[in-house]
Amino acid sequence: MSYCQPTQLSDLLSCLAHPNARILAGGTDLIPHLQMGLVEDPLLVSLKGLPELKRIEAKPEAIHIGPAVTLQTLIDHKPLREIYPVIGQTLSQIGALQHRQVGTIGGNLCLDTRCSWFNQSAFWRESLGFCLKKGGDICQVAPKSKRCHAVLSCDGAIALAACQARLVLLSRAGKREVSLMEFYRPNGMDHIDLRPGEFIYKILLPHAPPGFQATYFKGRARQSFDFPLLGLAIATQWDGAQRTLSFVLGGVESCLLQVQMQNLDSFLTPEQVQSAIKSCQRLARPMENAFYGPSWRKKMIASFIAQGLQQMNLIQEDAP
Amino acid sequence: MPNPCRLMVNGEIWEGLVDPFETLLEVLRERLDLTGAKQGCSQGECGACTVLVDGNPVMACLMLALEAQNTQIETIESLATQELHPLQIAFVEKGAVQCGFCTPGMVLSAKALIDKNPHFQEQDVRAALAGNHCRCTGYTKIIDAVMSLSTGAKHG
Repeated sequence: MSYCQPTQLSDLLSCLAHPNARILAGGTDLIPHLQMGLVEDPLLVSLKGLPELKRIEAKPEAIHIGPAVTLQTLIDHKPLREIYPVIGQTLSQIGALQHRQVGTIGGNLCLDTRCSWFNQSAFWRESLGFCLKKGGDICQVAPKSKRCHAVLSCDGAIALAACQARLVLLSRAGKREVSLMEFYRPNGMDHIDLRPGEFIYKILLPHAPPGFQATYFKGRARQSFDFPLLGLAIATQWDGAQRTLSFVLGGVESCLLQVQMQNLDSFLTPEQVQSAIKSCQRLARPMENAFYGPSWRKKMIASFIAQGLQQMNLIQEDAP
Repeated sequence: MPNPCRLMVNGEIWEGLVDPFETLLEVLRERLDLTGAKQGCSQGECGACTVLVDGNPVMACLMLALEAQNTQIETIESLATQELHPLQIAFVEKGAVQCGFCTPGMVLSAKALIDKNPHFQEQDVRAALAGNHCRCTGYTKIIDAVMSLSTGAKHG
């Protein structure tokens, strides 16, 4: 294993061209993976020497967030808190303070997928013949499946997708832009759309449109700190005549899932609430790969949607 | 291949060669003999290895020593020089220590909170200590100890 700390963007791109390059941002996900033998012989490329990747800048078209901005910096960022309270609400539920002080938003977006058969010691995994994601040839969750079913576990991505954030990806081949929904793929072994030598250069958060509000719910075993077993962001926009609603789900698949409802009135009828719940439950197909199983996660989808719409005052109250 | 490393720990400079994967915790414990930060889970889950980096609580098992350069690192050993720190006195007086394994991390997490916001409330203490696990006390006496130092406490 080796380590480098580039101080120029061009040097960073050269380091990332190494086949075993792994970006070391906060390290709160990568270092436990190294300890467990889940990542072997990497070239660790530190972002510490590049202050330009730690900036938050409000520009006319969007708020630009550097990938090495820590989660706690984003939580404490007053202008962002005023525009998008859901971002702080979500990020403050990631890990404990010790993780948020060093963990970065870029690192959260690139968090490896998690599975109860994968996030274990080498000894534990060896006793079962390993799994498709590392060292084995079958997915222990779905042995007949040809792909890995480890789940997307980054809370930040769920909330940022609900706010329609986009990513600027940079490599020596140039820049490209993708939406967060496009960035993730339904394959737990290869779930992010980063090409060789590419990294998240910026996160672009559009200025919130008028009438926008969003909230986030996290299902987890321990409130103190835990990865999401289910993450659900609800975002809505009212333009004065029509309402749109978006439900973004994480923690149930290797990618983000989204249900959108358009041309709604100001308030939702009970039938529309049930329709939203059914659509999300139909789309999400959680498996036996986390601390709580599929039935709990499906039930919680209904509970979170009902609570969220109620809290956002979007449900039509019955006439007296 | 070992890399040169320069750390500022408890106000003193330490210089040496470290392996790329050597964590700050390993350097503190094995090279500097600062064994107050404990090695618990090595996964960033228990908080026993908490130290302060630029005044913020950080798990030393999750930080490479090379990444801790150009920062101010404080370990539990920096707190008591001539006399115990008020937090340490509060932990003793409230019976917030049993086996003591989690105590250095608890005290440092609490110190970071107190240094930033002396008017903290109980919910702030609970949030600040959420990353520090204790398997003896049941947390109540630890929270009591920290709350006894709040200048704007509404306990209960």
